[in-house]
Amino acid sequence: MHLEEGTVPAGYVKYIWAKISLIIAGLVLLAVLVVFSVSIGSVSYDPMDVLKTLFMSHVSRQLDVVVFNIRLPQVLTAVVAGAGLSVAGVVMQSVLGNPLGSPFTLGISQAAAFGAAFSVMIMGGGLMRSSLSDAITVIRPGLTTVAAFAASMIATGIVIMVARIRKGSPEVMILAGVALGSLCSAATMFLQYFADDVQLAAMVFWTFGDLARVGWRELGIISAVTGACILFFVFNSWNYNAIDAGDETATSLGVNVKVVRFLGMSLASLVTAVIISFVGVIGFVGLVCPHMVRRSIGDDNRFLIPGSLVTGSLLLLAADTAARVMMAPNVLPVAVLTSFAGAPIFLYLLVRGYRR
Amino acid sequence: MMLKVLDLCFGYHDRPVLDGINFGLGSNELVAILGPNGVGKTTLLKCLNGILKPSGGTIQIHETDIRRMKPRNISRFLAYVPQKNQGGKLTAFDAILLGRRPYITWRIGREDIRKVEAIIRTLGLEQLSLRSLDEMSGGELQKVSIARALVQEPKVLLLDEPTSSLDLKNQQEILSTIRHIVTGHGMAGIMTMHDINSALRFADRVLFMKEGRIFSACHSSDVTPEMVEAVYGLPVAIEMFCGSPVVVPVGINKRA
Repeated sequence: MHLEEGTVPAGYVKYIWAKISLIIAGLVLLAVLVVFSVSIGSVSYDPMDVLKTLFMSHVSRQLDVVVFNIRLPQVLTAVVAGAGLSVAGVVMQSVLGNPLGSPFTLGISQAAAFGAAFSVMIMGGGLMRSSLSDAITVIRPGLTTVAAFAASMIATGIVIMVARIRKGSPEVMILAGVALGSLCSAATMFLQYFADDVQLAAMVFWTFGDLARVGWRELGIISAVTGACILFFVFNSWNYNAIDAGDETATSLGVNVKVVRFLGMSLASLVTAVIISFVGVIGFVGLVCPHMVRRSIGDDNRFLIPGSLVTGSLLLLAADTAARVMMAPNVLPVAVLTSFAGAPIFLYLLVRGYRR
Repeated sequence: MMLKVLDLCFGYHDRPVLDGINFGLGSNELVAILGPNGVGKTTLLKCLNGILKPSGGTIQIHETDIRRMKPRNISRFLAYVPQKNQGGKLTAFDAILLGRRPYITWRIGREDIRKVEAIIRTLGLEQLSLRSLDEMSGGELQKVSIARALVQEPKVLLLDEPTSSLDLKNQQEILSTIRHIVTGHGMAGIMTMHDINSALRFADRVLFMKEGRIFSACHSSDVTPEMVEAVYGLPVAIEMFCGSPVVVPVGINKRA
């Protein structure tokens, strides 16, 4: 059929701009929070001085060191990791057609924890030292990171292979992920049972996601992978919208559902694996943020993906800032806070959402 | 012939479902596929637009084998309206806009939005346009789904039981909308159905399927009680009532 062209309805334009404004407001808020977060900590500085140091001129030598060597990498890691975990959650929920989809449903974090434990015990990455600035550090963190990453990618590979045998069914992916996650937890417990005190502490410590572990070089790797994958996801937003409408509708719209699903799954897992191998397990961001944004912006992936990106950054940065300030001079690992604050927020959203 | 199906076969795990289906479809024609549950009506429809891959036979669009066409080009020719529609927190306008997917790659243009607005006006959905799908009734969702298929600007519309979840008034509304669009725009339509009376009233031709084959194909006015009995295994009478043929089962009453 050939359609006569109508007009662009004003109501729709207004409705689209409302969504775009929300995202822009989030970005502004994020920028403010970044400056604020760099300013405060065990020693607090004037935000104006921090702004000057960041963008214009040298204020003091101490400020230069604190801002560029210590706080900025951590703050930017929060921004990038929050965005990556949250967008990975959106994509998984869409391609799996399941609201439970998140980096954790598929056993990725359990596998990463197992990889880290394995490196500590078997490959001897487990010596630790304590210092005043940072509680405990795993010696040879590079080895642990690589092992965690390898383990989570192997787990993802197995999940996808199993799903492939069953013709890419999303239910099979979820169930295989749950099974694999449980297997990895058991294997980690086995290692922990036979580990000595020092090794056990290192294993457990690794699972406390902590953004302070990341330096500029690691941040570069995380940002490159996350950035590239998010671009890919944004480019595919119409395909995810089509899959949300049902596999059959998507196919009849010319979408290759299987390819979109496997690529989405693999890249979302990759982003998650890269992030958690460097910073440790950070729970709930990938599940809560997309759902928060779904309630405000809706399920349209064109806006859901950028919206979740901003919200994920905001949430993780806010949590990390709170974790640094709450019990100062002691520093809490951020992962404790995300799950602690995330779960009640999530429950609240569920209750409010179903009263509609 | 816009669409031609030649010797089409399909099976799930070696169990044959479709066994040598042949038929053609011309413009301005609305065809209803009828037959008992599990006979392969939906499977046939899904084979036509590539959701399922046929194990044998060919499907031609304007004499071109569908296997030699890109999915994107097929979707500009064939649009599919599924039996079940998934709601979400998405406005009707955005859901219909999705039908432009075969034409867009990166972002939508103004003409895509204008076309969506035009189809909303054609189907009289202005009131729904900015409502969210998860607040809609079955009939409203079905209309949105048909609008999405139409905004694909297809030549052939495939509808899987378009009236199965609708009340009487909505059934008639949807079917007469489909009827008008097919004749008014030089399109063609194929719909699977259970409601034989609606099929006889709205479709030009009916195809009866039995055991994976087309048992008989004829104009709606030429359907005989013998055909219906042979396909459904139930004796019926066909009477004219208020100008339309009506199929009534006979020999069965409430107490039987």
